[in-house]
Amino acid sequence: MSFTFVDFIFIILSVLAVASALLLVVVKDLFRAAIAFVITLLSLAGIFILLNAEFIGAIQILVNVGAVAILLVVTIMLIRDLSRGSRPTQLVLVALGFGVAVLTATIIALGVVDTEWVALLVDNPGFESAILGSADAEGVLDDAVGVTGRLLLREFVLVFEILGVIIAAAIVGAIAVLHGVNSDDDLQEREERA
Amino acid sequence: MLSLETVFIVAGIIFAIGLLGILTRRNLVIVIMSLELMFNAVVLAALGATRFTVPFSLLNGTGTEQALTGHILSIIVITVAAVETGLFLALVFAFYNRFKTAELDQASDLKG
Repeated sequence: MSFTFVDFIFIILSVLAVASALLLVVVKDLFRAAIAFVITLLSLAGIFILLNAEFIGAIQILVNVGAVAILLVVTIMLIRDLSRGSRPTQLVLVALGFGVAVLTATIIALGVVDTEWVALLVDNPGFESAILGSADAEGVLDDAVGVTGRLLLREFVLVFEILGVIIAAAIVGAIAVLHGVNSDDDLQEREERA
Repeated sequence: MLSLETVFIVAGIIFAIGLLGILTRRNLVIVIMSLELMFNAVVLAALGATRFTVPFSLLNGTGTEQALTGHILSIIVITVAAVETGLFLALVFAFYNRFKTAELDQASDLKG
């Protein structure tokens, strides 16, 4: 197995993603958790780009880093209790959750290692010659943005439409949930408590 | 080093870390971020599978474009995750307004 520059970048990004994800889960201060979240998302966007998915990487940065993370930070700043940090969980529960998470990771890793992927891989010589008869998979990956766009508006146009409906429904739902929240009565009540 | 197995293993580790966050933390915002981590692990696995495997439609000669269905899946997952995060944060505001706290375990209306 040769070690290339891409592999080097992949290792750095993976370590960064996993380390900052762990930090996000462990850290007490919510602002630091949000920063760790952003670092994880950015490293994952880098890995996406390494996987010939430049368009998805750009979407990841635009949507997740640009919008979702900012939304989270705004929420943390708006709610007083949140910026104060969170209480630690009971040690027994933490140990239990840690056990479940390690078990999940182990099962996934064992499944990945045990499976015979080679029959499906692009690098498999026999498979590659079979592809070259009809089309070139590498060529498809080179024009990923165009192919994705055509795919989204032809074969998967129903999914595209449903996504639009979901977004509209979520906006209406968010407005409905927040309807009446933070009204004057609540503010007075909160001041009385404080 | 950058192969299907390593990408899947990294995705599995990030998925497990997200699960850890959901199971052990009680703060609502951390739970949302952990959920988002799990979504991103799924996207990573889908993109890895798209990059390193060949779908059967390519072999049949029925179409080359099916090779990128993983990208479509990624777009769907990212969109739904973002939408769900927005809705969830609206719920956090409503939750805080009602219970005056952002800790999940204190949100109990039942006595005893």
